[in-house]
Amino acid sequence: MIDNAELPTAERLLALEIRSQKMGFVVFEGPTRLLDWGFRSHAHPTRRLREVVAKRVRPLLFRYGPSAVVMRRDNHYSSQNPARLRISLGAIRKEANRCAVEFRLLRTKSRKHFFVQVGCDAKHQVAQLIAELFEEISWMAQPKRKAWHSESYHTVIFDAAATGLVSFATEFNPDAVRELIANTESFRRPLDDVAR
Amino acid sequence: MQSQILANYLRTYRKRSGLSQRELGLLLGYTNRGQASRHEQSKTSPPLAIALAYEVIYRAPVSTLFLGMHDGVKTTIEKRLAAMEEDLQGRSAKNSDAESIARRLEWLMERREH
Repeated sequence: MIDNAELPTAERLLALEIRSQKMGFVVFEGPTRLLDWGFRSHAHPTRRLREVVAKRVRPLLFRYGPSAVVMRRDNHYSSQNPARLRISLGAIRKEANRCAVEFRLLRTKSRKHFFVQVGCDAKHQVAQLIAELFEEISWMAQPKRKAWHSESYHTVIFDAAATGLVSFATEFNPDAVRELIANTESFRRPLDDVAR
Repeated sequence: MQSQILANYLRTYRKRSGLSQRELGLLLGYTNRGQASRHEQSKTSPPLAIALAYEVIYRAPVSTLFLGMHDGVKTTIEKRLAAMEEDLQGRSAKNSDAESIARRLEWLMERREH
């Protein structure tokens, strides 16, 4: 549960993961604690997208007053509309600036590199690691999907959590995150077992 | 950079439990989710009975659930106690009044040490 002793010094971070029709969010308080998580839909026409995305992000910024908003710079999937992603990113950046919250973009490559280092090459392995680190969202973790299955709507939450975790690892408290990951079961197990 | 403590952590505890605001509202004795939502957003403060109900539901002390509020109250009260102690130390009294002041000062000192 929440550790009071750590609270006053904990860094609060809003990690976001955007898709063309929705966004996943995770609010961290320090690298080990999740305050809130979920996703918000912005399945609206592109001409209204900027306004809708701002409307979805604003309550999170006001409620949690994070010190930074972090998201991936280049999460262009073949199925995602790059124009909509660009508009959403712009709207989030503007809203963060308006609330005087630092806005950070994390390269997908550096995020992938971080997880490869800890033995998680595939997306479902990253999701499993996140689920082990944060048991409150473990029930949402999905098994490896087949190519013809569509993505679970919970995946954006795990992607956002992964971005937030890497941001903590690279910018705030690398040792704490590495120690945290080193203590998980999947890190200790051989990778073949993890993939099974 | 440090973040301010949230006024309350009700939403975090609720999300961990997997309860919806409606279900929580029913547990608290409300007919809808409105009040639970307002408490989470710190738009209103719950009455004492409801605050204790939160403690029972989440098995966490009220001071943890309402950490920011607790912090604010603590700061205010500590300031008032310091002012009271200063006032008592500045007073001059005789006999029973002096004993009463001494007792209060002693209590304030004991309280500070614990």
